[in-house]
Amino acid sequence: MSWRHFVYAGLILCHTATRAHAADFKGFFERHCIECHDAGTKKGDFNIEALTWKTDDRQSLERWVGIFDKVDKQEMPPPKAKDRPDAATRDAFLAALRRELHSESAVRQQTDGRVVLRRLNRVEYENTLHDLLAIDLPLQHYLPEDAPSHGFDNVSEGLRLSMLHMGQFLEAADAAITAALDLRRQPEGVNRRFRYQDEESVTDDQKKPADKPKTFRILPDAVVIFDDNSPSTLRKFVFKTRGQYRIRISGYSFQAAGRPTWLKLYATDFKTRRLLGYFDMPSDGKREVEVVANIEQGELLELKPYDTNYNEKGLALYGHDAGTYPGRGIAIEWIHVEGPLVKSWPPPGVARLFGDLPVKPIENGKPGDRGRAFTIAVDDPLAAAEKTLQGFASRAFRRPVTSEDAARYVKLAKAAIDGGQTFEDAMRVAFRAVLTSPRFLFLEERPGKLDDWALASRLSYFLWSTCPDDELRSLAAQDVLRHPDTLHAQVERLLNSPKAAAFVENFTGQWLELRQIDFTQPDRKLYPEFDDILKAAMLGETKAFFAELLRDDLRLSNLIQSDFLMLNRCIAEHYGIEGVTGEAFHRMPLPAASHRGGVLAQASVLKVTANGTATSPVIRGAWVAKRLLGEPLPPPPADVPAFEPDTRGSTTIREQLAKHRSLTACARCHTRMDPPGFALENFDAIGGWRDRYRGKEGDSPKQQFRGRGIWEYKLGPAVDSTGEMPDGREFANIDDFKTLLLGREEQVVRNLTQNLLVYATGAGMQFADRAPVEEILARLKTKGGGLRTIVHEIVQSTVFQNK
Amino acid sequence: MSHFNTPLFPRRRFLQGVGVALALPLLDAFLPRARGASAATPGKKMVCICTSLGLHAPFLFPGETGPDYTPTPYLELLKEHRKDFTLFSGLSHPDQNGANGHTSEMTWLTSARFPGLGGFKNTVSFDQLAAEKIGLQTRFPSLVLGTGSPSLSYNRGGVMIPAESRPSHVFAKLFLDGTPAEVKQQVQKLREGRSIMDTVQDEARSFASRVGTADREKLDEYFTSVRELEQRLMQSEAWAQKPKAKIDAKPPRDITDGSDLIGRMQLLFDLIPLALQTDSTRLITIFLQGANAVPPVKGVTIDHHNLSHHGQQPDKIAQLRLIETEQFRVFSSLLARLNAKREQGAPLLDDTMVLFGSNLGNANSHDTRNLPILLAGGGFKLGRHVSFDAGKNMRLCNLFVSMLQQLGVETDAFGSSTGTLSGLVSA
Repeated sequence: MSWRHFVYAGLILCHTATRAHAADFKGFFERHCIECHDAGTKKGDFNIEALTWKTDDRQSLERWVGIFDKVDKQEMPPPKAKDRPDAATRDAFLAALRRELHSESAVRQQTDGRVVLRRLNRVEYENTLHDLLAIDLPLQHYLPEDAPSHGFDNVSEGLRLSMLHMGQFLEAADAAITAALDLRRQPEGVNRRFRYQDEESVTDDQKKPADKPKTFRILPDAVVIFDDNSPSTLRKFVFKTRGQYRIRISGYSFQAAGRPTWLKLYATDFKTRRLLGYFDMPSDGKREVEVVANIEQGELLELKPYDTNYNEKGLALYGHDAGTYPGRGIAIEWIHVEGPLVKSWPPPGVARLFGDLPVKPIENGKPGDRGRAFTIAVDDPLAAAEKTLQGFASRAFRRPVTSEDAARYVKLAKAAIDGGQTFEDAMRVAFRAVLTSPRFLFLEERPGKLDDWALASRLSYFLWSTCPDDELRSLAAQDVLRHPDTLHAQVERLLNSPKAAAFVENFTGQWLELRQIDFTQPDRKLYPEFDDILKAAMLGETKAFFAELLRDDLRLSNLIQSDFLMLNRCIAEHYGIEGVTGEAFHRMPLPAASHRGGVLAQASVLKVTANGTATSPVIRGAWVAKRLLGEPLPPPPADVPAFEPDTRGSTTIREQLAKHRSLTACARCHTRMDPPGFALENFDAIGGWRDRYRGKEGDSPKQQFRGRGIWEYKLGPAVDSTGEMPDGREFANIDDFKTLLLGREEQVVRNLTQNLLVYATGAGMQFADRAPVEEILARLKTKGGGLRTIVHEIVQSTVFQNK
Repeated sequence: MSHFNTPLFPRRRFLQGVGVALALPLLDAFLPRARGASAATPGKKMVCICTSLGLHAPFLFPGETGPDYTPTPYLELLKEHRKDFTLFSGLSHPDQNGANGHTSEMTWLTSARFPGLGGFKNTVSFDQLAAEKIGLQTRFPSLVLGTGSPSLSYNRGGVMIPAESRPSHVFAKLFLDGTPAEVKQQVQKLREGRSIMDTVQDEARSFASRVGTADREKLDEYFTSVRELEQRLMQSEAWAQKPKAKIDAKPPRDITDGSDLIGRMQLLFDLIPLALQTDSTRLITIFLQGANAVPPVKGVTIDHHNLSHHGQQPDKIAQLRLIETEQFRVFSSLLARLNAKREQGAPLLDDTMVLFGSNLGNANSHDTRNLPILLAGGGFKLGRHVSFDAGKNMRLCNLFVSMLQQLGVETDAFGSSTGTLSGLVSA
C-alpha cells in the first residue's frame, strides 16, 4: 500500500471527529520528510508510511506529538537537508497539527479526565493515617516501594495495585488502628535529667587501674569525650515505650582553641543507627540543645563528638589518656529526656475512631480485658456503630458519606458482634474495611471540573502530601473553596504551614534526584571529609534553598545562578566559606569570587550525579538536560558499545569522551550532553571544589579540613573545565557556563512549571496542557513573580481544577 | 540430616480441626502420597539467583567453548561440580538501557524493555508465571528472598513482590508452628480479612458506577487484587491448620550487618535445601544486592559498588575478585548440598534447576549485554561452556522458556523469547 493511501486513510477515518487537515500534512510529508522516512529507508527507525491517526491509540498519537516537537524545534528536517520548509510553511504545518493534537487531547481530558484514578502512594498513605488517627507509627515499610512515572511516585500510572498491596493494606490498617486505639493504662512517662558522669561507661572508665589511660575526663560540671570511637551509647535510658520524646542536652566544646565542635545525636538499636540531629557546640559558653523525635521501643541514645581525635597530619589518635590529652573534645553536662509526649489519655486516636462515644475506665480489671484500662461504653452497639462509622468514613473518604454508604461497614461490625466479638473488636474489623476501601485508597474525582471536596484533596496532597485538614474540609462543606480568592488564601496558608516541608522534601527529592543521595558511597580514601552530617547538610542546603525561593517568591533564574547561598557551618566549610556557625541554614550573600550559587553548584546535586570515586561529565550533562532544561536525552543506541570507564589515569575522561564523540552515532547527543558536564568538572564527587583531580599518585595536599591534615589521597592532573556549547559559544569554567545558561531561563521556568504540574495533579503532561503552561509563562513574564507565584498559578489553572 | 519424609497430615483430623464451615481448596498436599523417592521430591524445582553488581568477566568466561574448556579462576572454584553446570556467554535481554545503570535489576527475570524509563511497566517474572501453574501445590507458591527488600520477582501486573531478607523469619514461616491459641487467632484474622474483602468489593462496585471509563480500568486492578487476596486468604487458612514440615535444623540467626553480603548470602542459601526437600515450595528467587559498603571480606577496603566501577584499576579489580571469589565459594557449597546423596531418592539437584548470574555483563560500564549466566542441575545435559555471539546476543528468555518447559509449564514463549535455547537438552 502506498504511504499516501495509508496516511490519508488514517486521517479520513477520523475525519468527522477531528476535522483533520489531511492535505496539509500529506503535502508537507511528501515534500520534506519522505525521502529519508519512507518504508524502505526509514531513517532513525522512523517510517512515515506506517503512520496512522488513531485517536484511541496512545502510541499513535505520541508519534504525532514526536513529529510536532521535532519540526517545532527545527531538528527535523535536519539543517543539512535539501528540502527544508521555509518558516511560513513550517508554521502553517505546526499550527494545523497543533490544532488537531490539542483538540484530540482536550476532548479526551473532558470525557475521561487527564488524571486516571490515583491511589495514595506509600508516603501519602502513611501521612494520611497519621493525620486521620493522630498517630506517629511508621507504616511505609508495610508497602512495596512505588514506581515513579513521569518522574514522580505520585503519578497514577505508576501506582499499581496487586494482591500483595491489598494484603499489606490490611496489615498496615490493623497496626495503625491498634496504635490509635490504645486503651491501656497510660504508659509511665519519663521526665528526667541525669549527669553524664553517672553514665555507666563513664563510671566504668573511672574504675580502671591508675596506669591505664582513661577515655573520659571528669570536670566539675561535665564529662569530656575526646574520641569518636569511645563508648557512646547512653545506657541509663532504655526507651520502654515507643513514642515522641523531647531530648535536651547541655554541653560545650572543650580545649577547642575558640572553635566550635560538632555533637551528633543518634538513636540506635545496635542494628541500625539513626541520626536524630547534629549540633554546633560553642567553645565560649554552654549551649542547651533540644530535639523532639520519635523513638522506637528498645532504642538507646548515642552521643558522638565529631572529628575530635585527629592530629594535624590527619592521623587518628588512639590510646591517649583523657586526663592529659590536650586536643579538643566535647564536654557534656547533662541529658534530659521527657516523654512519651502525650497531650491526653486515652490518646486522641480513640476519639478519632469513636467520635464522642464515652470512654470509661475499667474498674476491676478482668483477664478478658487484655490489659486494657479503658473501654468504650455503649448502650446500643448497633446505633453506636452506625453513628461512629458514618463519621469515620466521612473523614477517611475525604468527602461526606451518607448513612446508606456507611451501611455496608455497619453490617460488617454487626456480623462480628453477632459472632460474639466485643464492640471494640467488632468495630476494628469495620475500621479496617474503611481503610482498605477504594474510597480511602483512591482519590475520588469525576470527569470535568472538580467539586470542592476533590479540590481540597488535590490541594492538600500537592502541598502537604496528606489529607485535607479541618479548615479545608469546612470550606469544601460550604462549597466556597473554589473561589479564586479563597484558593489563593488557602495556598498561602498551606505553604506557610510546617506541613509544607513534605512538598519541599518530596518534590525536590524526585525532581532534583536528591533521593538518590545514598546510591553511591564516596570512596573513603579519596573523600575522607564525607560523612553522615555532611550528607545531611548537602540535602539540607538544597531543600532550604528551594524553600527560600518558595517563601520569598524568587525568580527561577536563581536555580541557575543566585546571589545568595543557604548555609550552615558544615556545608559552608565544605565550600571553603568562613564565618558561618550553627547547624541551621541561613541566607548569606554569595561571597565574591565564589563559584557557588544556583542548584548546579550545590553539593547534593553534584553528589547524586557522580559515582563514589569519579565524576562523569556525561551523567552530569544528562542531569542538566533532563532536570533543569526538561530535554531528556534518549538512552544510548543498542548497537554502540558502552563507554568503558578507565580511571587508571593514563587517559582523562575528556580524552575518552572525545573518542566517543567522534563516532557519529554518539555525537548527536553527546555534543549537547557533555558541555554542561565539562563545566562542572571543577566539582568533585562530593561537590567540593577541585583544581586538580584526587588520586593515588601525585603531590600531597597542603590544605586541611576541619583542622586536620590529609594523608589519604594525592593531587593528580589539573582539571580542565572549558567547553563549547552546541551552538559554538565557548566557556572557560562554571561561571561562564552559568552566564550562558541564564539565557535559557524561560526554558527552566517552563520545565519546572511542567514538573510541578505533574506532581500537583498526579498525571504526566499531555498535549492539551501545553497551552495552559504557556499562559502561565506569559503571565509570569508580564506580572513578574517566582516560585510561589507559579504554585499559585498552577492551583488557579484549569489543569489543576479539572480531573 | 533433615527429615524430608514428613508424616502426612491425616485429612480426618484436619477436618475436625477446622469445622464444617470451611470450604476446602484443592490442595495436592492433602492427597495421599506414595512413599519413596517421588514422595520426597514431587515435581521439578527452580532456584534463580542474581548478584546485582556483575561478575568480572575476564575471571569467569573461558576462551574455549564446549565441555573441554580450561577453567578460569572462578570456574576453578566450581570444579567439583563441573559436570553439573553449564556456563553461557552471549546471553541478554534486548533494550535494557533504562533510567539508570542498575535498572536492569528489575527485568532480569522479566525482560521488559527500557526499565524505568517514561511509561515503563514491568511484566511478570518467569518464576511467578511458573508459580501460577505449579505454586498451589505447595504451602508457599514461591519464596522470594533477597539481601534487602528489592526482589527479582514481579507478579502478573508487573508489581514487585518484596523480598524477605531475614532468614529467621523465613525459617519460622516454613517450619515453626504457632501455639493452638496463635493458630486460632491467625485463622480468625484470615477470616476477618475475607469478610473485609467482601465488603470493599461491594464498595468498589458502587464506586465503579460513578467513575469514567479510564478509571474503571484502574479499578479492575483493585477488583483483581481483592479477589486474589480472598483466594489466598482461603488457602492460607487451610494451610494455617496443617502442621508445618519438621526438620532438624536450628533456626538461623540473622546477620544484621548490612555490609556482610557473603554472610547474608550464606544464610539465605542455607534455606534452599531445607525449603525444597520439605516441598514447602518449589520456586525460589534470591536477589543479592551489592551494597555501598565495605563487605567484611579479608583484604577488601573499598565498598562493593565502588569496586564494581573499578575503572580498570588493578587494585580495585583485585579486591573485587576477593568478593566474587567468596560468592562463588558459597555458590559451590550450595551445589554440594543440593547434590548430596539422600537416604531416599536422588539428590535434590537432579530435580532442581539453579540459575546463577547477574543483570550486568560489565558493571564497570553498566553494560547489560553478555550477561554471566550459569545453569546447574534440573535434569539437563550440562557440563560445558556454551557461547553465543558477543555482538548480537542470544535472547536470555530462550533459556527461560526451556526452563519453564522443564518445570512442566506448557509454553513456547516468554518475554522477548524467540524459541527455546538451542543446545540445551534434557539428560
